[in-house]
Amino acid sequence: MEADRSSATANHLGDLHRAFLGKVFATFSHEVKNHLAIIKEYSGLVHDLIEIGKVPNKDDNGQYLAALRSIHQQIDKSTSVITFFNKFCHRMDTPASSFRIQDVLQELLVLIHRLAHQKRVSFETETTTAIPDVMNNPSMVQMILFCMFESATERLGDSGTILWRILVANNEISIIAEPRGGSGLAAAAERVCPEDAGRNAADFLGLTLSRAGESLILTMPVQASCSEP
Amino acid sequence: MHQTTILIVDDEVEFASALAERLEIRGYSAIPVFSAHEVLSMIEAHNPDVILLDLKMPDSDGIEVLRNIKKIRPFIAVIMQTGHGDPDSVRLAIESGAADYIMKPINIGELTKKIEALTEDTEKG
Repeated sequence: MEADRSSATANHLGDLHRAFLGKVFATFSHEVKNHLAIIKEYSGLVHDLIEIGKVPNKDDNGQYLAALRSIHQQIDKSTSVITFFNKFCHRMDTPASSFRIQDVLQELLVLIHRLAHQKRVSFETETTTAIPDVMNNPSMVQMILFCMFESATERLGDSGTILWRILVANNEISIIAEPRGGSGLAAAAERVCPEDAGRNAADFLGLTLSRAGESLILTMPVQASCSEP
Repeated sequence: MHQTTILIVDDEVEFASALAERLEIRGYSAIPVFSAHEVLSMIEAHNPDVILLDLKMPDSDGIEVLRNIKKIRPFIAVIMQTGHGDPDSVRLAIESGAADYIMKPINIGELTKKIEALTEDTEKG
């Protein structure tokens, strides 16, 4: 009976995790597509200018330089987000590993930046100087952090800031998502990870997801070693 | 000869600016608009023939903006830009008054064909 329940929970978490990954992959690919769209327009513009015979010379090259600068910037932005995406994917290489919580949080925030931007929500982070490593399932932890993002965004309405804080005390690390500002509760949107599901996932991983006022707090035990931020 | 005026409504400033320059090279008057909130005042100011409207912008729902445009200027042709052209979004856009849709990244040849077809319809109509 207990085994059946555990298996059902694992299946449910698997479904939830797949939905979370789908959301992150879709957001990531949309962002890269936007960068490519800009690269395409600026490279097309350079092509158009050459085609109409407007050849650059040392006195008249502003349009070319601006276009090339934009292309470089978009390539840099794409490379950066792809690097984070690559790290995010490698978090699933093994079911459990030792990791820096500030790194998994940063990866997630970079990858969901576009989702937040759509709702005019920005992120701020505050961390303590030395944060011990964590031994757990980093990808599932990112899913719970995403659940905290969804709850905080729902609380903010259509704009505001989420302050992410990482605190260390009593051999535990706490990650706090605190919504600030905003216009109040948003209309209930379809969520990938409802708060209850996030709480169940945390229980399953031996972590605690709790609420203090409007903030959500994920608490996890630490390993012995420490890493600098 | 009437010069076709196009508003490009997209919060991606660089995308809209570059596309506007490319349309200008092709003989159109193209004006980038970076926020949905500015659309109605820009319609008043420029009286466009065609609006290229992004379906998803941070400050608004593109469908809602489309409906507002259609309320004040039912005869402006609106082409919706969609990220992936999913059938539900396209259907909703067409039902809400969009004349056509195009997927991003845009093929400039495809876009100008659509603009020509829509403005030809308007001129004949």
